[in-house]
Amino acid sequence: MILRLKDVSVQVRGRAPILDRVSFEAGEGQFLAVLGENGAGKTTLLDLLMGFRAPTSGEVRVLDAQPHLDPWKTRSSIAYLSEKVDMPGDWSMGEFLRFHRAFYPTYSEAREHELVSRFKVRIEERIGNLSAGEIRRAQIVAALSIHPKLIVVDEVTAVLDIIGRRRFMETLTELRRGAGCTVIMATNILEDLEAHATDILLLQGGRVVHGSTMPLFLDGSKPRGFSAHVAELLEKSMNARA
Amino acid sequence: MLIHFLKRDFATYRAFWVVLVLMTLIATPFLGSREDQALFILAYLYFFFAVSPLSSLVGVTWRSQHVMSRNYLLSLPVPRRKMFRWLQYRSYVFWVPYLALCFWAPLLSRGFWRFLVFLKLGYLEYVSACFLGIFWFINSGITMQLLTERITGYLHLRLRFLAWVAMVGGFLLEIVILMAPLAGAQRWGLGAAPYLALLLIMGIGHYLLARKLWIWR
Repeated sequence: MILRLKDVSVQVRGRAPILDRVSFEAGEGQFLAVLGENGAGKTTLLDLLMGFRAPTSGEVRVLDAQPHLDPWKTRSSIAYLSEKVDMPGDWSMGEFLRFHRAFYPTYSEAREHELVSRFKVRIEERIGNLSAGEIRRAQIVAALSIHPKLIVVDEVTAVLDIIGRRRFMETLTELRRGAGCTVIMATNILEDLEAHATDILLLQGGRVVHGSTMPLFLDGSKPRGFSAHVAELLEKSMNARA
Repeated sequence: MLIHFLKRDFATYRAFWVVLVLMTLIATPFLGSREDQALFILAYLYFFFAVSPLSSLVGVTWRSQHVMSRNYLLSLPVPRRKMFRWLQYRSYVFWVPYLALCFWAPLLSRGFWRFLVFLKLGYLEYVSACFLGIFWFINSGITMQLLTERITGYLHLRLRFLAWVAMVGGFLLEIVILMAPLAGAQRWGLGAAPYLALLLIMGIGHYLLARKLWIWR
């Protein structure tokens, strides 16, 4: 297993749990889409996988290590893409990529060049002069050039344009199929997920309200359609909690 | 890898270093003059130079979207405690000019030397106090940056306000605690040792808190 969560809860004292007994697994080559309302616990879930937070209870294992205990060696196999990742505005994109590659023994410059041209990253431009979407494209190049085993994606597709988003999803699928990468992506953009994700996890109020393979989920979504089915499940769960 | 960071820091703040060197060259002939104005100007300049890159080094994004965020730094394949130690070293580099001026100040200014005699501080004790003071100041700065970032995430305005008041109040209280022995040094003849111990304890306290806040969200 690439990642496994068992009965994981995260709670700040005196407040409702952010995550409540969440369990799931993902193996090699899986693409797990994590969906849910704002505040459902998606980012907290990914923070746990990166070891930014420790679980209050339960067990988190990523690449056979517990991330909150700082097994830094496993992080060289994890590509992390998040809206919370920012870079100095006075650096050029080329400077950022040079800085980044020094930390990863498996970093491939050939792969970087290929991705730079695929995502049309303006290497010489200063980061401060670029749009949010262009910055995300450069981060994608940096993250995916390390030959990752696991790709953790937190809401980065929202700022990408239609072509950028499509290329990103296609690249993830290529890596999944070709190199056996595991992808876990938290997102609110449902477009393209049907074609690329292999599994789906719906979170509501910190709890898993639905977890299944994508084909099974799509079967259940007929004839309403994917988005409508996701919304319906989340609303049903919300009403049940109320 | 630390060198990798230091090179980047130097490249980012190259213009500041150049201005600092130029100002030092201009002020040098006036050092040792009776009014000590050049010394004070350099001290202010070096101090603000040392303080200004802190948010950028720590990686807090509440002030700007264009710093290298802590999320990025913590996701790198480097042990987090080591990364925090690097943060300390990187911060100290910006304090080198100020620290150098602190070493020279009693030798350059008679007034300053008389002030140290008034406080009953020997040169060695004074230098130790400078080191410990900067250690406390760096870690207190990191703590405040990270606490402010955390406070901006609080949902309720009242809670945000109270947390902010508590943080600033705590900092001011620390200043009072640190100044009190200085004020009482002459009157009650307090030695330097308790003062240095106090600085050390407060510095270590902030170091541990800053490390905890830096590693955990």
